[in-house]
Amino acid sequence: MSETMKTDGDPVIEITDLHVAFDGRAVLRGVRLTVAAGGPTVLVGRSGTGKTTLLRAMNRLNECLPGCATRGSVRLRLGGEWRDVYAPGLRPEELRRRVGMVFQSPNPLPVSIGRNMTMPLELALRLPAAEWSGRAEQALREAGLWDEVRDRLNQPAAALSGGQQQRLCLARALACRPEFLLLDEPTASLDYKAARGVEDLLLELAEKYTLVVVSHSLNQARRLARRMHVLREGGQVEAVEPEALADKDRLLAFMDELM
Amino acid sequence: MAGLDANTGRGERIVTALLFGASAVCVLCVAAILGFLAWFCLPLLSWRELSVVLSWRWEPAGGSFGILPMAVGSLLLAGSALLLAWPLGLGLCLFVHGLGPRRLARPLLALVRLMTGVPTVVYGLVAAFLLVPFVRRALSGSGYCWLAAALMLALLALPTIVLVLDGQLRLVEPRLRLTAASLGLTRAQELLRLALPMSARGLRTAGVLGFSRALGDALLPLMISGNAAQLPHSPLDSLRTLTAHIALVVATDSQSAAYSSLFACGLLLFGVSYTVNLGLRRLGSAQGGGATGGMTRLPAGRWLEPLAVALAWLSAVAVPAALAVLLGYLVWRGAPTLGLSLIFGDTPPLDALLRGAPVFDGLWPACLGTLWLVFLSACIAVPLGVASGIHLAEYATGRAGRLAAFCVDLLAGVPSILMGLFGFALILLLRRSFWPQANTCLLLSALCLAMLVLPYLFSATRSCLEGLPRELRLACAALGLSRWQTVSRVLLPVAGQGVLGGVILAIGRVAEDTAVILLTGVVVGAGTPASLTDKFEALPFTIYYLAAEHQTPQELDLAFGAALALLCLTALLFGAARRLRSGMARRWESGRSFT
Repeated sequence: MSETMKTDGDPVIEITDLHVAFDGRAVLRGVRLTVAAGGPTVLVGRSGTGKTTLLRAMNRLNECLPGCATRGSVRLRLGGEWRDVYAPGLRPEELRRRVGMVFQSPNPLPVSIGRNMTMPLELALRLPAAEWSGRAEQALREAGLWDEVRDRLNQPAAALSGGQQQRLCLARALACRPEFLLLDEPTASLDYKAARGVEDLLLELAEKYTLVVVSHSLNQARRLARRMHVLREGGQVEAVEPEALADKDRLLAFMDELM
Repeated sequence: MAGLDANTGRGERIVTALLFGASAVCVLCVAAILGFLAWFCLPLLSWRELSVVLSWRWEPAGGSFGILPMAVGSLLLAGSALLLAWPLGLGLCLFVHGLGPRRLARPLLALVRLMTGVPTVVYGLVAAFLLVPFVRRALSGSGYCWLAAALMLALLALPTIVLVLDGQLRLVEPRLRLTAASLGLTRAQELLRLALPMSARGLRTAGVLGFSRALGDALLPLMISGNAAQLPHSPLDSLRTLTAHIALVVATDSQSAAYSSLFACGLLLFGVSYTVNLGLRRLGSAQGGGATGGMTRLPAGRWLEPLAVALAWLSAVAVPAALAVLLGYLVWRGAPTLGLSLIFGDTPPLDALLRGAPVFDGLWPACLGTLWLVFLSACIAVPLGVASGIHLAEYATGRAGRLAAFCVDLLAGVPSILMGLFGFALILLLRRSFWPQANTCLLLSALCLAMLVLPYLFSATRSCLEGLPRELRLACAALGLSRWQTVSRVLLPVAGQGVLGGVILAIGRVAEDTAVILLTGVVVGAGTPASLTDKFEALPFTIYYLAAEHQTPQELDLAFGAALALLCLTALLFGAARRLRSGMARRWESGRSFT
């Protein structure tokens, strides 16, 4: 956990002149974005504008995909100090541990529910086994999943429903006690009710973590966003004015213009 | 809490270096084999010598050393065997994956796995005393002919084909099942219209590996094709393959001209299997490319499904029936001889086991020799093969990766007799240079066998890892797992079954191989090996020797008993390996902290 308390609103992510290309095909060209602590900060934009790529640039996940080339600067405020994410000396594993991520479709590992929670604690955090179950339980409670899975921790994670799987993935990220949470359309594969459950959860979590959420549902964006940015086709990011967020008609008009 | 800065990645770097080293060793193996073959072929580099070797007459006494009849014989035999085995293998696979009754699928697959463990020499022995007399009586000629050898080679290549196809379908098919069912497709339609077209790579790989297996086998042709150095005019004629030729020449001739032609045979064999490999690879890349590029279109006619069902049933009946007849005959002949005296002769078993008392008229020394071979070559090949497979699937990029993959493919195409020839050449070279006492021995055999099975382990590991979805790797990376943690804790356990399949195949191959040890140190009556540099006996060789050279009916009975014992031994190895796998899977699936 970070030692210094961040006051809500201070910048914690600064992206300048970010270029990302896959196999020579540019996806992001000169993106500039500042994200403040807390949130949730919602990124919206048409499909294909590179929202996911932008999100994955923040925890260097793009480089796990073949043919990726990244240029530019992504700086995060980690543990109270500014760090250049792409600096050569930085360990991507530790970065990703501190910058948790939830994917568009639930991606439980092909193991039991309990092992899904403890495996990153053992391998990425190297915690002693005695601490695993406590942490896992706390995170599962935070994600509102504990009561549903407490008796079936040894069952395969694939046996859970879609909404439960997604909350498991969220809990798995929370168990590592990250400073940031990146969420890539976290409710895209869920039904209405499960989606609202996850949204409520995210609003609660925003008090403790800095949340960056990609969404392409405007309604969801309105419900979630404390701040909103629009990613446009050319790769520019436009901030949505805070006043616009409150007024639905004004927001829609603004969106039409931007997207 | 670990720091953000990169000073803790040392273990990771060591692992990467080790994996790279394993790949490098694979490349060196191929370079060494090719280098040796080429070096010993150098004396042939003149038009006169070359025209002697590349001719149609083989009469060492008359100075004719032509190897062309053997080259053509090899191609004819392997081609005809593949023509039989590939459709049968495809049929079996379709049967197992839904064209036949579901409850027959598992036993049938178990049977095919058992077949991988049936030693070549057992097939050879049974064929020589069952199929050959049958062909002689039913048709004509001596019975030792192209037809008999092709039938047996087809049976030999079949499990390779089935297991490769099965592995491929297992990766592809579960993803399609629900989608296809929701679209109203039948199981047969799903398999033929979706799964098979997406498995084009597997279909070709199965063909290549099956062909290599048939082409590279030395023992079956040696035992049942008749070995006349001539071009066959009908399937009932005798023929001689390159592989059998090498074994025969090493055994009988010692003239230098005969030796050079031997290495020319080796180089030719290497070249043929290499060309086949490369050709099919080209074919693959020409049709492939892109995510959907691997789709091959099957004919659209309605007759396809019934035809496939017919083929599936035909294979599912014919293959087990053939196997039942062959093994039934073996049990009928071999079972009466089974007993402690088969293994220990007249020596008390406890004396032999505990005090190392010599056993003269039993199979104990041969059993021990075979176990040593399996153990030693597994120690060498399993770590190397699995490590280089991991390296290529997860770490290697660009040119170095392609070179290693190419070399292992090449190594996979190298027939076993060439590994033996390589060992033989290595000893020749050592003797001529700094170690005049060097001789063929247990360690040399194990080394050559390890090189033989390296590609099995490599390919199994690599293809299983590469078949896993990319999302799994992303999920692990997003959780902060390092690359090696991802591989060792998540990917390898998921791919474990496939990797272990490779290990099983490799062990079975070591236990049953006769061609390699034939040239690298096995002898009759060597007794229990006392050290790694001793000569040794081995079960498959004992069977081969007794089948050809038995003086009395009792000795032939001993051969059948030994064959049955060898079969039991390989079955035992396979059983142990499968238990190991299920234990590993259980431990990994359930968490340790929550139990």
